[in-house]
Amino acid sequence: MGKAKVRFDSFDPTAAADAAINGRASKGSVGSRTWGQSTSSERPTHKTHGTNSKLKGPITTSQFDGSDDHLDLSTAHSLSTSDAWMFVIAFVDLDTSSDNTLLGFTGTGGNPDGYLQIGSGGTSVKWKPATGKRPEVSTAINNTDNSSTNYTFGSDVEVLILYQTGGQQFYYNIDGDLIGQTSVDGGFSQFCDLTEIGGHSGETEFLNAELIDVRIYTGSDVPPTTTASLQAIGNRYKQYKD
Amino acid sequence: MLGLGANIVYQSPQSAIKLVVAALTTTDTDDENVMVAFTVTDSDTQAALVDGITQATGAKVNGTFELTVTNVTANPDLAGTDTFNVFQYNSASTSIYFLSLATSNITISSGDDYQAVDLTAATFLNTGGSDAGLDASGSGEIYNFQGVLSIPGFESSVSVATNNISIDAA
Repeated sequence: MGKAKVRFDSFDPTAAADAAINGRASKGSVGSRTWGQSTSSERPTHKTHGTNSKLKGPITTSQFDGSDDHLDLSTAHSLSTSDAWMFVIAFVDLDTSSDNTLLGFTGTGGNPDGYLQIGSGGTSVKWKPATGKRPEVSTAINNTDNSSTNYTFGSDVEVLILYQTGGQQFYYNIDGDLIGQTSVDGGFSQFCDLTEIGGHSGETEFLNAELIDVRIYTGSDVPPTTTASLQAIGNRYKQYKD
Repeated sequence: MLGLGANIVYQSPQSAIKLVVAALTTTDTDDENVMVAFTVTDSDTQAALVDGITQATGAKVNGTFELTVTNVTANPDLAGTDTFNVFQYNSASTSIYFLSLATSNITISSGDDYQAVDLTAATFLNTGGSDAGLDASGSGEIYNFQGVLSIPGFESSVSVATNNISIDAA
């Protein structure tokens, strides 16, 4: 395993309380990229340590308001179907009254709008390939039809781990439990581009939560998918729970 | 004069105050360069840490922290110990501190300045006194962290830990 290719890290202890986030460097191994938002009113807000009672220690977060806040990656990151992927997304205070977009993608041809969402109620994971040729795929996680664990995302510290390999997507929670899987592939012929967090190019269904961390791994950098490894990824964020 | 000292109560030596650490946390802000921080809610321990210190973000405070890190994905496990100085996380708080090998106040200009524990450093020594090689040449992923806070004149804290934490390799 290695470092994430692209990362949005909310940990920024020198940022001022409630500062608008713009131009934050990606800490991934692919350098010289930043997360920003050209429209000032659509920038998420920096939350300093101690402002969220569900968190302890030095951790800081980025508050997305669910209305229009989102961040664009300065240079889109191309994902190939020939690689395995792992997305690790940690957050707290998720408002599940509507769909929440975690990541936005663009593709080529037809409708280029793709996304990864947690569905309304926290009971599903939705994947829309960045192509007009494939529909949204919604995978229920609040049953054990496609998993070992019945799970619902709530407002506590949460993690969604998405692992894609071949024609399968697997979803795991903060405990490393398999909460869903689907036989959908990436839904595009060769590549799609990661372009946004908190929204997608359709500009609806924005993220309403405090984001802690986003890591995008591909290929040989993908962490092991053993139970111990998935649990250790969850523990990375579980230790911040107050 | 016999009996003059009969009512004298001889006190036992005063017990040292025991330090209390509430929690240990790690933040891997950039691969194996990790911020290791601990939280203190006990007022005596907070006072002991900053006694005589001009409080500031990055100020070196009293005491040391003996940190043992174990790479549990290595086979066998690789464990190394190093002793770190203790620094104030934020001038407005006496409840959070972070570890560094620096010997004087740290100027904090970005979040990177907090990530002062380098798991690849040769200063983590195994029980034989040699470089523990904690990062296992970059193949490691899961680590345990545990440690003890000590301040002269006080009883050291009990060991605190945060275990099975995934850390990205560089």
